[in-house]
Amino acid sequence: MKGRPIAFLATAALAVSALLFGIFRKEIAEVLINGALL
Amino acid sequence: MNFLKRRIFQGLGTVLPNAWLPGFLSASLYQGPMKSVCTPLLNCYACPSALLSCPIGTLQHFAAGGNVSWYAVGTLSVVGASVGRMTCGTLCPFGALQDILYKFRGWKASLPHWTRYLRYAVLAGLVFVIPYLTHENWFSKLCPVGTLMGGLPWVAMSADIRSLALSLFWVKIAILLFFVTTSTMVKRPFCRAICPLGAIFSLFNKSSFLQLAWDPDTCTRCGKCQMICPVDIRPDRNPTDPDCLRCLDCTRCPSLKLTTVFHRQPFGDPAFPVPVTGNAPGAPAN
Repeated sequence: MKGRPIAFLATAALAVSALLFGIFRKEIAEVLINGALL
Repeated sequence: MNFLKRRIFQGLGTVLPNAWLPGFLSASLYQGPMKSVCTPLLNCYACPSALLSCPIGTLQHFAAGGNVSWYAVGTLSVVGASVGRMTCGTLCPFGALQDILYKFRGWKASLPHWTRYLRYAVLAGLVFVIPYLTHENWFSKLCPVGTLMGGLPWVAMSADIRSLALSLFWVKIAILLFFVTTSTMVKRPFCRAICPLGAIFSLFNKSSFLQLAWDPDTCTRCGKCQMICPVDIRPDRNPTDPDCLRCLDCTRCPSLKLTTVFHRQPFGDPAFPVPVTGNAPGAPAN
């Protein structure tokens, strides 16, 4: 399907943006605390 | 993918995220920096040897606090956009257990088609809505992977936790036994009907970088691909099926192969078939 490469590029861009936004919000520290202090 | 190779990958997917063996010796959780990484597998982070965090547990923890974990969403989306559901098929420890259990001889059944939509309801309800409303991680409370990898080792190791094991623990045991039993009769019942992580990854199967390609010119529609498929689908009917785990067992058939989303003719141009034997037409004789 011709649209699939575009769909992949859009999905990948959104995925990386969400990941970077989460890192920017310093969520890693909360994930670490949640995982370590269950 | 070679069957033995997949078993080796599944073994690594079980051992490597749970490589903190001192956790079992000292009856304590790993609290180092690797716990900040969400594993793209359903791997319980309450397991004494767990090195990485569970992404579903992380999503619930943020939902219970009225937030969205963009870090977990982003991590899962990057993996999903790259390989689709491949981690379910090649790395997931609970998927490997279900694959092994289905090898037992006995009565076999197929799962009704509608059950594939249950996992989306589990994802929306037990991972987002109910934790948001009750401020409790309800999927983790009931998760059979958590019971197997977290609950049972802790109850076996610690008398204090044993004394705290209430009726909910026996409900968890019943859920685990239900899936262990049904896995001997049905191919991967938990992955297909319940797993919220599989529900997230299955959204990416149509647009992921890695794709399964099917060649209609060479396919004889014999249906052997469905017989060897661990989730009982026909990859020749829909190579981007949301249920497909990208385990690549079906690529033993020459009509199916792994390709990328940018590859338009993975089996070559049908207008110019490659000659199987002899010289190409028009080529000078040897």
